[in-house]
Amino acid sequence: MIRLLKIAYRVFALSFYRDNMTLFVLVIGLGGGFMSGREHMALAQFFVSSPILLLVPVAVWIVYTLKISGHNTAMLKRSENTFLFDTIILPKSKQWILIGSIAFAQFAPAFFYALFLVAVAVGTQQMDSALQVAGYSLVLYWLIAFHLLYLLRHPNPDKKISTLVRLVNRSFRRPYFLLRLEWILRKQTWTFIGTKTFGVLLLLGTLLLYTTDDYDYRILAMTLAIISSIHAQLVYELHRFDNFHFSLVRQLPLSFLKRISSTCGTIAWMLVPEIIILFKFFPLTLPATIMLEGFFFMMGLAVCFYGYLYRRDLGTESAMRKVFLVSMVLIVIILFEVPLWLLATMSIAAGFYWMNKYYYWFEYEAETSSE
Amino acid sequence: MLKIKGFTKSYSGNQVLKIDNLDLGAGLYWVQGDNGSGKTTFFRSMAGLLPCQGHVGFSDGVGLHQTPVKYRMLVNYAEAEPIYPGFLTALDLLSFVGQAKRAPQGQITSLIKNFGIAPYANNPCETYSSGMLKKLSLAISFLGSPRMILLDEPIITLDAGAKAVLFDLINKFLQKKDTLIFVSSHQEIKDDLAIHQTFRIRNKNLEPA
Repeated sequence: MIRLLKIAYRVFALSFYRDNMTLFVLVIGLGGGFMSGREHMALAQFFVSSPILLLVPVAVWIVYTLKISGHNTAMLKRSENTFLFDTIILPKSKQWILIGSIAFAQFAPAFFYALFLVAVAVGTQQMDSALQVAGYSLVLYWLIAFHLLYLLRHPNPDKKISTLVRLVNRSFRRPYFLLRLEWILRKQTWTFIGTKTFGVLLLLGTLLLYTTDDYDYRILAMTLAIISSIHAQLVYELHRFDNFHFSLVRQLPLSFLKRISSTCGTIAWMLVPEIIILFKFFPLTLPATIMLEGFFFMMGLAVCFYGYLYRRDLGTESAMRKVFLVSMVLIVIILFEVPLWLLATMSIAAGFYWMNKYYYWFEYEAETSSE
Repeated sequence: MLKIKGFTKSYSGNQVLKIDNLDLGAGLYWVQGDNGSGKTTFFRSMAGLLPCQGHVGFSDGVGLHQTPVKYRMLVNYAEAEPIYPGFLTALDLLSFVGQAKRAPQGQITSLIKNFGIAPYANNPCETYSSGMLKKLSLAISFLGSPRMILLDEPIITLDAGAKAVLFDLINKFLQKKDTLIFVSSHQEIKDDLAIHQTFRIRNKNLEPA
């Protein structure tokens, strides 16, 4: 039993924390670095002061629960984990110990914060809030456990295809650039939503800044450089789709022009929210050409990174480190008033060059090392 | 028809396959080898999915490195264990590849019918069994007007009906006498197919068996 527990911990809990390391580091950084103990206390008292405000941490826990359940589903879809379905032959009590322990290990951060809220509520004589916090966290904990149990007891659920999906599939053939976007949206949903939200808000905030004073184009250019750098993860996924998940494309007789234009098309679609914001809130104090230059600058950086990835197989961490360094250098270059059109042209040229030179020579060093 | 000269394939500097000189005409070639000997590496390199060194090309000058787009138009490949993005349907994939390979009118419909793909052609791949995926992969490998077809373990997971369709298709292509087909298989195929020559990958070399 202990051995099985250890394996299950590794498959479900450890992998969950590993996959979401950035999120946890961010939360710990925000919680531990920016807020003092007194501020934590004040925030907790604020939450437990009314049932409506209590819904704020509960909403976060719900999102966290969904994330855990999504992770568990993904883990059990992997062929190397099919042996875990055999756990249903264990006695029921042992099944519950196993599942309860995993769910607790995964939900622990939320549980500990719930305990803290309960303590604060009891300390301030708000017993209703204390009971509500305990109730919500227990319900969510049980939901994770029940969901995992359900998954383990239904190893091969019939995939039902809705009539709408059937109709779409029958009447519409996906063009390649859209197909890649769909892949990213399906497989990297949260990264996509997060990137887009952050990009749009940052751009909007910067553009609104221009209504308060007479700034030149450099603040906007630096913002666009930051937005491009946070898109690097999506571009990385795009490259991975083209060369790993759908490597069949590498075998197709597509010219360089077709491949690169399709890539540019996908990237342009990806940038649609930022483009809309840029056009709609573009400051009148800046020359209109900057708008166009800004668009090509974002496109150029994405194409440049996509092309660069063909030089050799880079892991995510190594690739992102390079992106971070390049963004810092870019910001410095922008401060020296290097025109955006020049940076955009150079980026696009570099991307095209790398892709053209290395496309057929690219291979993953460890083809099985993913997903 | 197919010329291979000074071919080498390495992973991280370690050579895993070497072919000094090979000149092959149209026909069916059976590639044998133990697990891990390099059959799939050979197939994937020939298909242009893995980079390799040396000359691989047809007698009319179309080559893997010299004319990569034209070469890919003439070479088709079916993986041993095909995997496709789960949300794509068989029809999505067949249309997409068919368009790129300039499949003649009616070829996709005929392949769908022959391999019995029609009942699930509009369903996403993630709902397919391994046999259904295999049929789709094989159908894709016959699209267009290939000069070389690489079939990596084509009969594993296939039902008897699909196996007969596959053998029939291979024989039809062979009758045209302008196609070269490589097949790797651990199963016996001599009784069903007219094998021109058998090769074996031994000590990182492709040599006649």
